[in-house]
Amino acid sequence: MTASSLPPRPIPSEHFMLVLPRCKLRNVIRVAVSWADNYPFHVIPRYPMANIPVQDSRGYFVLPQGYEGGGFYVYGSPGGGRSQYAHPIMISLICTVASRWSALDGRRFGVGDISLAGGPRHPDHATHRTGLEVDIRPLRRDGKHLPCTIRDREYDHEATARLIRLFLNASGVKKVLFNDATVTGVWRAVGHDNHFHVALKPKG
Amino acid sequence: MFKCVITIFLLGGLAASAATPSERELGPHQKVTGVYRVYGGDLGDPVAPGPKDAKIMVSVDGKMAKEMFEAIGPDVRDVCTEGTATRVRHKRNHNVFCMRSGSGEYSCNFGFDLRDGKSIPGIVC
Repeated sequence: MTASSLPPRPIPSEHFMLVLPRCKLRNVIRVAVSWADNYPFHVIPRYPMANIPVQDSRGYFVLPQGYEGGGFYVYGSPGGGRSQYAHPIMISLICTVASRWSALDGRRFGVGDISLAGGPRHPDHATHRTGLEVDIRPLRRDGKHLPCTIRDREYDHEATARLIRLFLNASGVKKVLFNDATVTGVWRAVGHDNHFHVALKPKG
Repeated sequence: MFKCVITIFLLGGLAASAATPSERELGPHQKVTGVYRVYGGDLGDPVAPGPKDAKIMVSVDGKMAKEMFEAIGPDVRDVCTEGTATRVRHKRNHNVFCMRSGSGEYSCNFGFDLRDGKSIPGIVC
């Protein structure tokens, strides 16, 4: 059964808004909601959403885990959104870049660790406590939602450079760490062959 | 007589200072607090370990981390944490990596490739 042969399943806009409660980009949300209301969600693979609080003690929300319309997918460690509690301006950034990216490329980019609920030290990271840092996988030529390093044959240098440029052009980005020396505007750092790290300036 | 006393004091002082390092008390073994994980792939995007790819990361905190932090000094500039109150010290290109947060929490990370035993970083930015 194909998507076109299925009757559209009504998805209430309010439900979608609950997933993006703090995204300030109203226009992006309106477009996404309009699209989501008409999209046959029942043919999309469900993302496993862990039984975790949607909001943590800081008031930060988990990044939307099945944001199919916006050009990104989620991964991370621990998975299921447990490492994706994000500051509101980080959610806004990801929504903005994802919207712009989806207009350029049909592949989705992988969004990984942001912060754990409440902001304790993440055992794998020196940072990722404030909700203002995010890890993004490099783009793969095959578009698969899998790990990729800059040494892999599947690594798409041009697409990754375009995606990084979108992040660098967005407001509030402090720095991007990535080890592909041919990408401009990034800092090199140990352990950044398989993801790039985006850090935002704290607001205020 | 006075010269003799001075000489005795000096010799005694020299003996005491010479003895200090070798007689420094070796403390008992301590319990460790921390976490570890065996993984495959790279630490920034880990996957399940397999028979041909198994690494371990260890993250410790508390007294052990404080002792390590003090032993591997001095502080180094770190592109990841610069601009924050976190102090960083590391050896061998992050293979031994210790931090002191602005609130005074110590932590250290290190890792090993379990296939060949080589030291690898146990942390990413």
